[in-house]
Amino acid sequence: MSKEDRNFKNKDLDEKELEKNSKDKRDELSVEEQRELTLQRQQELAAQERADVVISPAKLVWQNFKSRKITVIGMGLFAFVLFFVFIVPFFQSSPEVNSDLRYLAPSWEFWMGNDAVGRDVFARVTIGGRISLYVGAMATLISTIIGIIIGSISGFYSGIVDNILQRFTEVVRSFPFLPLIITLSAALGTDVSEDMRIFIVMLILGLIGWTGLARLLRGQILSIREQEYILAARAVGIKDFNIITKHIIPNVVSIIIVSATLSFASNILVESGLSFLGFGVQEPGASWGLLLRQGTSNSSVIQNQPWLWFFPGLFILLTVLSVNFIGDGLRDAIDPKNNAR
Amino acid sequence: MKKILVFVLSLTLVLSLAACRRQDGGTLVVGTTEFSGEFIFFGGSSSYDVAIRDLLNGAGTIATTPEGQFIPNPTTLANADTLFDQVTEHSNGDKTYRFELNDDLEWSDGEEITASDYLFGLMQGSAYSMAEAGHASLSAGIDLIGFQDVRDGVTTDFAGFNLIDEYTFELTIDGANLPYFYELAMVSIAPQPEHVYTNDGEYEWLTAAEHEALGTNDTHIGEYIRSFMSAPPVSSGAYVFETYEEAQFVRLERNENYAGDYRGHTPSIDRIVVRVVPSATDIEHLLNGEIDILTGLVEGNKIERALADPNIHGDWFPRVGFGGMFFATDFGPMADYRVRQALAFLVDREQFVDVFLEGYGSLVNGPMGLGQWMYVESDRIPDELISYTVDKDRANELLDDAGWAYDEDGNAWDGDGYRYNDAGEELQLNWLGTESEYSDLLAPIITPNFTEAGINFTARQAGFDILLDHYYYAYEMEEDEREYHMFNLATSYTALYDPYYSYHSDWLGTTYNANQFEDSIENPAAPLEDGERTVDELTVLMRELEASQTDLFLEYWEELQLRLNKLLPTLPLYSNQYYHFVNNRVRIDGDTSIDGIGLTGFWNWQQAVVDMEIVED
Amino acid sequence: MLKYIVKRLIHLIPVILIISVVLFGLLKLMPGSPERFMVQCPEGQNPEACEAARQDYRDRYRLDEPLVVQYLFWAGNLLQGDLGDSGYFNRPVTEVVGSYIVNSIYLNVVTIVFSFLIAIPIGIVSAIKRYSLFDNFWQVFSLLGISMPSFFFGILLIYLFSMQLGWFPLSGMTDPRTVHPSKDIFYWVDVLHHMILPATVLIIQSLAGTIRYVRSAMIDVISQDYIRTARSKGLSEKVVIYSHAFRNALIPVVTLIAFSIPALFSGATIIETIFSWPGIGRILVQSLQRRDYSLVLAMNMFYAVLALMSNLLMDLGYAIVDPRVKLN
Repeated sequence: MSKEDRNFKNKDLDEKELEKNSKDKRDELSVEEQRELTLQRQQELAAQERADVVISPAKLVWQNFKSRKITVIGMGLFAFVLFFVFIVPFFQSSPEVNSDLRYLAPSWEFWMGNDAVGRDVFARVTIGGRISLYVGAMATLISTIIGIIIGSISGFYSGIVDNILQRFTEVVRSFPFLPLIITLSAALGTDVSEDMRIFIVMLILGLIGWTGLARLLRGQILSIREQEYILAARAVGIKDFNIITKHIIPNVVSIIIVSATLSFASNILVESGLSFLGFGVQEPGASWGLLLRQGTSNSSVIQNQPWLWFFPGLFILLTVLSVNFIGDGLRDAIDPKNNAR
Repeated sequence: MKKILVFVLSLTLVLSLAACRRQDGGTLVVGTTEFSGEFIFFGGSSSYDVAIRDLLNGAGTIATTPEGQFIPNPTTLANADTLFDQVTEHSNGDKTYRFELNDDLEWSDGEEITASDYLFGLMQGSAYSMAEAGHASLSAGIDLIGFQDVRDGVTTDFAGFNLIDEYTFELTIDGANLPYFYELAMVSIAPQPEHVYTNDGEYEWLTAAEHEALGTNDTHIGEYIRSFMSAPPVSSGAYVFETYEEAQFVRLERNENYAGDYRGHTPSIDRIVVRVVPSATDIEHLLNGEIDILTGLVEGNKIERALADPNIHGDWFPRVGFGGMFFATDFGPMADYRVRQALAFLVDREQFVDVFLEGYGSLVNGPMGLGQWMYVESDRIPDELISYTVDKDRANELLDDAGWAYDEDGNAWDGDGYRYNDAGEELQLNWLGTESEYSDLLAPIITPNFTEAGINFTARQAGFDILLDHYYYAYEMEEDEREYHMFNLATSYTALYDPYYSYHSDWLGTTYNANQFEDSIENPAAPLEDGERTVDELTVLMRELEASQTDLFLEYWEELQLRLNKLLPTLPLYSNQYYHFVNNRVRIDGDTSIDGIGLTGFWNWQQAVVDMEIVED
Repeated sequence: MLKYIVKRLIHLIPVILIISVVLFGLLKLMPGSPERFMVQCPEGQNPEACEAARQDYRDRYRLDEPLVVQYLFWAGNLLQGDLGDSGYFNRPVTEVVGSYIVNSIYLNVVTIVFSFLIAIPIGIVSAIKRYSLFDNFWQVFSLLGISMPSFFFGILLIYLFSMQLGWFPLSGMTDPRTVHPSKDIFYWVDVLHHMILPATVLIIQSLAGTIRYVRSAMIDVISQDYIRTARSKGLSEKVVIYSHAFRNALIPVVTLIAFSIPALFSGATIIETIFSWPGIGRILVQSLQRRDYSLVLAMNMFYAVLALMSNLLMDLGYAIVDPRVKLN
């Protein structure tokens, strides 16, 4: 529950905004809001029928998205990071321990200097980047999938099932995250290989992080399900399947995408934080968080060899920033207020 | 907006002024890593509180000199000079020592320190009531007669303690524990304030039966004593406890009633503040002048910065101990001493000392500390020891001799791939280190050489508790549960150096002989050469000497080191230079020409404080 | 309303139960036996005596009994307010953590106060001047704030302001040399001086999310019909904003402040570790590293309950604040 190292709090706030924007706080909506929404959707439907073409909300979103400078910068930055982490290493050899080259400052030969055992920091940062991104992406994938499943089931079926799932969500949400991951990390101890360990970290991050998306989805699906236009569409005779694919899913997909993007950024930060404390990725592996940990082991190192912590930290910042830019842009793009104006 | 800016600026101004708060002269500030709040002898294992406990407790019967010798304490005992003449040897082997206290010893509150306080101190370290209160390891007077009965709560009358009068008492050692080279340590006890801890007689020691009869809401003496754990009310040492701010500092005031250490020296510094400073930034605090003393520095980058600073002086002493690779000598390929020797020839220990200690340490070739008196006085050690520098040919020879001479298909091993023995088993070794920089550095250094020599080697790290299980308690595991052949550990010796527990086969299957090492007459770890004796024999010979037979002790120690150097239950990698640094304003005897404060492996700042003076305010 | 609260509280019980069981089980999973770690056996001591001491430890903490019994014993004590003894400190948990929590609270209070003080005006102005340079700048700033890893930021600040410039202390809560006989003004100035760097990190992180939230709340309010009505009535923009919009926008903001109150008790683990701030976050990590089970378990339960309460408050808050929202 601690503020800054869960990094979910900020995500929580974002999600609250999403929730508000989707006009859902509770299971029922007030009459005014329903009316306004219905009006909007009816206008859309009318426009669609006039044009005789299905304007996918996706296209609308994409146009909005492209137009914002921030998101373009974000995409560019992220592309750079990806390039750095995946393409550049092809021209690099893996970092070797060399006790003659310890603690060297950055030079033309070693762009980011060398670490405590003489390894090339540049190479370590690229390797670390791959692992950090990998863990973040996988964790996001896991949490998104779980969130979708639980959210949709909760949304479609009310009653006992919904109730149980709600309580379950609450349990997971209230879990003190940091002690959990540290404990699990310690409990596994040495009996696992480094790869296994990374996998477990990613699994745990995924298993903890789905609650926000589940709640969002549930609310969204609930509200959509009861919409007059849905009932109207049904009454008119449009098939359930079409309703689901043309109306429910597009709305839901955008939320999922935004949530997943923000989640990705958050997971990268959390993994770095964990590794920084020593509970995530460990030697002989590498991750940006671990590199930061090694670069800040005592004050003399911080002061005399700043390249050891500066570069990994910078890369974490750049990556997370770019992903957040993208996520923000996405979110604004699908914001109906933007569309309506 | 402007208002906010002004506010922020003025705030910054005020805060920077705060730093110029009046400093206290006559105050010594010492840095420590942390406290666990145990300032009376209550049986915890935290070493961080030792300094505080040492400062609050004096008047012991036996003192330890800076060289690590045990001597009767003349400040406590009126009969210190004649102590050995007054020893009574009984026919059953028991020995009785007679102690006559000086009559001018006082607690900090003015009460006299009498013989019954020593009995109380003995009980506080052995009584059943203390176990009931959570005192984890009770061993005071463990070698005296009657200890076990008191420990088990059978009686509250300690048979080995005989109270003769207000200033006289006797201690009787159980003959079963004699002869013992460190006999004097067996009668080393210190007083505890009976008048305070019994609340003037309100509380008493209880037997186990009496404890049973207690109600759950009754406080017993053990719990009463425990309530003083973080705030001892009286002191018999150089300083008196004043206050403890959790996780921040402990403040002590000079004890006016202190009789002095074993030389009679009393402190001149009025006040001591022991401050928690994180080890990551401790050097900064020293260089900033925020703390005066920092001890136990081993990191090269910190040491160099301190040496270069003109406002700091310091010195070093060789560690009484070493760090190295501890082998599980009963497990798999490790059982053969030749394999162990081969590994020793493959580890580039010089590189490790260079990289890891950055030159501030030395190589040791046996389980010894460069600060031990035996090492200092010996002519044979270390010259006659095998020095295990990197020698890949020798290593390969040894591995061949030990039977690991084949490759996967049963042909002679040719240098590629891993080695196998004639039973088709692969030479696979696993190493477990603690989560520390040491392990980070060591693993990449040793892996290439090992692999090149045909060893399938994996290095892993874990927390200390896992290390505990796999190393110290390995004997409890099933064969297929065991995983690790070697461990990255360190050990430090005290003034009471007794290798019997670590290497004698009597202790197989316990946590003491954690290497599970055996070199006995029935089962020598390597064939004995002419005149060579087994480790079993030597360790027993060493301990069963009289305290005066130091020459013989040295001889046995040398033989032991030669044998251990051959058998290598442990491969020592390094012995540190322990640096301490002190602010220029703190000097021994006020003498600015002396660097450092005279610390040794047995004499820490809390012992040296009585000689320290603050030379300028 | 009351019915709802009671219902939610009742629902909390199984949740707390499950969490406690899981936490308990988790810690039991930890490898290594605590008595081996906590009770050291010095050489020279009869190993039987040592094993007896270890057995004592096991008996005291009931480590040999079946897990269910251990759990019930622990839970029973918990309900009576006995959080057990810390294995490392050898003292009751409540005694140990008291001062640590207080230290964390100091840091948290300063953080919350300043972050709201700064975020509210900025958020409101951002909403009013939407898409202006001001707004865009703070949007980017916010994004930067939530993207910046706290440990990196902390180290940067230490490097710049402590090591290079020497303006602020490196670590700790008070100056090691200064002896404060009591908690007077000098003491608090000293603490504040030490607090500036860690609080800066926390404040900026907190600012990011808060600014966006306030901005969003304000935008919501501004786009309401009644604001349009007020404008069309001819009221000056100032009046419209400050008397109508502002007050209504404050409502969700106040609820956000209320939500932050439970967070006052938790410690910012990473920041406290970097700056060696003697707070509860740091002691928690240290205890985990030291395998001090009882302390970790007790604190985890405390935080879980805190989190649940905070969730409940949040939901209640929404209900109270927005009369349009109906509850189950």
